[in-house]
Amino acid sequence: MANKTQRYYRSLYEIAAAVNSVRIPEGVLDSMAKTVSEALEVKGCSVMILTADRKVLLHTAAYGLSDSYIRKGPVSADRSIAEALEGKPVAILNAAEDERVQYREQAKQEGIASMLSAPILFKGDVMGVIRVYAAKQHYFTRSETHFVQEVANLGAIALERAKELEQCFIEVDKLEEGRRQFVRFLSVVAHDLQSPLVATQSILSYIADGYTGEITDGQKDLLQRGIRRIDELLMLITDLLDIPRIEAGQLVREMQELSLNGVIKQAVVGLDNVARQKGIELKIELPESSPKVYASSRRLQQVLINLISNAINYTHDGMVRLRVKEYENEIAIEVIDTGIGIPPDELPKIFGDFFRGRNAGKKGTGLGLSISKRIIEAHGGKLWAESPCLETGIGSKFTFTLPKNGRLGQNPGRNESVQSLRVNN
Amino acid sequence: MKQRPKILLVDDDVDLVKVMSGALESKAYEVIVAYNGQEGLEKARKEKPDLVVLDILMPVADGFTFAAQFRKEPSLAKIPVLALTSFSESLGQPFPFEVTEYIVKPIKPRDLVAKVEGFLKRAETA
Repeated sequence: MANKTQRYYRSLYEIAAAVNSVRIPEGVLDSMAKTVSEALEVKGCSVMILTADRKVLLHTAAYGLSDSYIRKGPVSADRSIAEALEGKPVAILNAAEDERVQYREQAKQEGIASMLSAPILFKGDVMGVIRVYAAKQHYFTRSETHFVQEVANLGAIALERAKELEQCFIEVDKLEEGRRQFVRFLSVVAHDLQSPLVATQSILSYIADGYTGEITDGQKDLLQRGIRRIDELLMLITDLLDIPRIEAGQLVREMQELSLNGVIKQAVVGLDNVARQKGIELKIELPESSPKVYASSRRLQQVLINLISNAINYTHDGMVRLRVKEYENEIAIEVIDTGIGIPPDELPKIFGDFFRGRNAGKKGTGLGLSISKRIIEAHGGKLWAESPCLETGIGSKFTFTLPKNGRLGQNPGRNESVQSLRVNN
Repeated sequence: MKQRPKILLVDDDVDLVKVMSGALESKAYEVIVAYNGQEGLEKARKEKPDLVVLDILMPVADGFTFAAQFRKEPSLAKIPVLALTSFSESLGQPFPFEVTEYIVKPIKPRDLVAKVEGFLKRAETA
């Protein structure tokens, strides 16, 4: 007897552990039916759930029963179940003859002699019935009945959690749809804000470049000023709209496996010219075999362009160096310059939105670094700065990390089939 | 190459079209204008241009629709296409079709002319 009690406790413990696991595995009710059958050493066990109209029960999980028995049809709340549905376990000694049983003939064919049904109750609400089947006529003892009732109580929790989980999925779907609509909305806003500016700028350039006839230097200067102001506005719109786009997870859908060297090479196109014009050396040190990263190519390029052009901007002589370091779990990309550095009181603020340092020139929105930080963090990495660079004692060093072979979040799927662009240059 | 190369300009922005075609015509190009992808396709079939300058975001049929159809038609498939996109729309993002080259807006009419000239020169020597 003690042995049996121990077995019941162990079984209850196992079922509770399964029910309690973070995610409800689909098979939790099936394994429950199995555990009960084995603990009681009976033919089988099934879990039946009431449909929404509460008139019919459906087999949701079963163990030890033939498919034909399980699929015999909808189980109406017969008297044996009705009693169980009232909240108390019901034992049937002879299922083939007891009038409270709906499918007596099928029970006989299945080799079922006795049955015990217990209600699955959650907060006083009946959700269904758990039923145990014995092949030989059997009087269910108090401890057996008690055990089955306890299992039913755990089953109720499992079902309730499954319901909550389903509700969560519905909520997640709604959020996803909202997010998609938001990103679509942003694209439209971006296009509608930019188009008139782009057209206006082209008209000004058209006049400034003399297509409409000779203009004076004074007129040309004013037109150039107008063009520059539109540039500022276009940059601001791009930056402002970038923030919600990154935060709405658009970036995650653009992520794919990339060769880091390739991304860096693409990003520095044009920047070496800018550096040369200032008389600065731009030194790009790439590892011999390129590390693989899981990233959005254009967003990573955006970060690299931002960091390198900042470095060039704040360096008047010397060099800007890009270096890649590989660690066990991450890759660090460092941009080191020999420039004027960052004043200590500004250093903690440089990643803030709209921050403009004392030494900043006229260009820029003060959003570049804050956007870069968001981009890197969306990739599961970190971005930080030191000034002066601890290694060289001068200038600044910006470092960002990316997880190695990191597959963050979900597979973007959709973008993977997109062909890459062929650029003939 | 013909005496006057024919450029098909497909863009829905009338003001942009005005200055871009003005700049191209000043270089003695023959400019044909279409204000959406559908019209662009019809004119391309009729006129067989030497080069297409194609905006991406347009009503009726956008640049994607245009180029997908364009590449399917044997008489048009070989014609080079320069795609125009605004910075925030594209920056290195692959298009789901082959364009010969893409240009990020805003672009000065003068720079567009230089691009077109350079491109036609390369196409000629290729």
